[in-house]
Amino acid sequence: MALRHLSALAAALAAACGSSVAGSFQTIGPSSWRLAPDTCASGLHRGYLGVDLYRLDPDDDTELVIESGGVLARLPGRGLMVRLGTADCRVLDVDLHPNGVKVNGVPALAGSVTLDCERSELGRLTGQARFSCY
Amino acid sequence: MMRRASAVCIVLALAASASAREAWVEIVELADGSVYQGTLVERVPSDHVTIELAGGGIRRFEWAEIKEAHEARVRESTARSEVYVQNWPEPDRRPPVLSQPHLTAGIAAGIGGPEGYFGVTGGWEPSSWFELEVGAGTGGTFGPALAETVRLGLPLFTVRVGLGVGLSQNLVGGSYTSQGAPPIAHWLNLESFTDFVLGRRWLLRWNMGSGHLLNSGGFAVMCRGARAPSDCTDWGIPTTPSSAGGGWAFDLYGSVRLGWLFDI
Repeated sequence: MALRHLSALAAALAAACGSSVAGSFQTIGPSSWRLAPDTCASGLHRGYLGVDLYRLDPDDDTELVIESGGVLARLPGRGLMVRLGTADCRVLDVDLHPNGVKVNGVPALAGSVTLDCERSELGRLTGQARFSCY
Repeated sequence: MMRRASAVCIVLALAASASAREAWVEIVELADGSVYQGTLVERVPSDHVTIELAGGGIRRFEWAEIKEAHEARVRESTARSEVYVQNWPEPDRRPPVLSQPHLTAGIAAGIGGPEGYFGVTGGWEPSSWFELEVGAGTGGTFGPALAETVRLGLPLFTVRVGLGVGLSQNLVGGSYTSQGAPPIAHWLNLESFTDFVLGRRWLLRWNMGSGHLLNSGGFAVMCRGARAPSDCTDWGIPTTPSSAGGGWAFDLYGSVRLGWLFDI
């Protein structure tokens, strides 16, 4: 019973501390940009199994959506996301799993991603991040 | 996911230069206007269609959301086309409300001692955990008052809890001063508060605290000049000066404040 209470307390504390993300991505090519995300959100809130990585900066226009089957990368200034899949990547290593915490009934997702992908309009996208998203 | 995001997919054929080889692809048009193209994985009439997108992802579409799904023979290069997603909702990149510095303006109402009071407040929040607030109000026994409060809070998403300490000054009414009470009563206030951020502009505050009279011996004088003999005892205030301070008072209060946040 005590362990159960401790687990609940740990979950509550984890949720209270909020999401965390560490890592960075950059592109070289037609749209060169760098994304060092400081925020992530679980896609389960919006109905997909993945996480959304971005910066809390109204002037920033970069974003990566990590799913188990691929990645969506925002093309800054164009209002478009481009989908990257295994066919586009030398490295597409995605670890995405529930971390055991639920916030308002929605499971939080944790994991990591390592990318080395290339697309004509995006250029070469490389980077890695670890995240825990609520 | 796409349906939720109201996304519209545009499938663009690129590099279709010389290849003449063809391949079968499944094209799924949804009721919301989205169009998906990929390799057919599964088609269960009246239930769902599943395709593998060019990027490698698997998509399952419920029958009810499909406007049309059909196979098409396209050049192989087109079948491996790039997929763009339009209208993907922008994430809310604004920092949490409480993490930004603010000026606040609000109205407050509450109960102090046995009587109600109301007033206006203005605050300066240079950070999420610190606030300096000045309030002016009236009501209660002693008339118009000013209060200056420093608050330290712990923000948790859109809620903040904390403690405050401050001073306030009440003008003392003539019925008291005529009997020897000081013209201004000085109070030291200690309080707890809870803030609720409503949207990104409104802040609702609930606070409870206690006031401690600083006038040495002053309140004993005031109690002697109370309107009714029961005033002091009703409030639980000793009517005889204490040996330490000459007199003291303890006043519980609570209030609600509705404020407006101005970014600075």
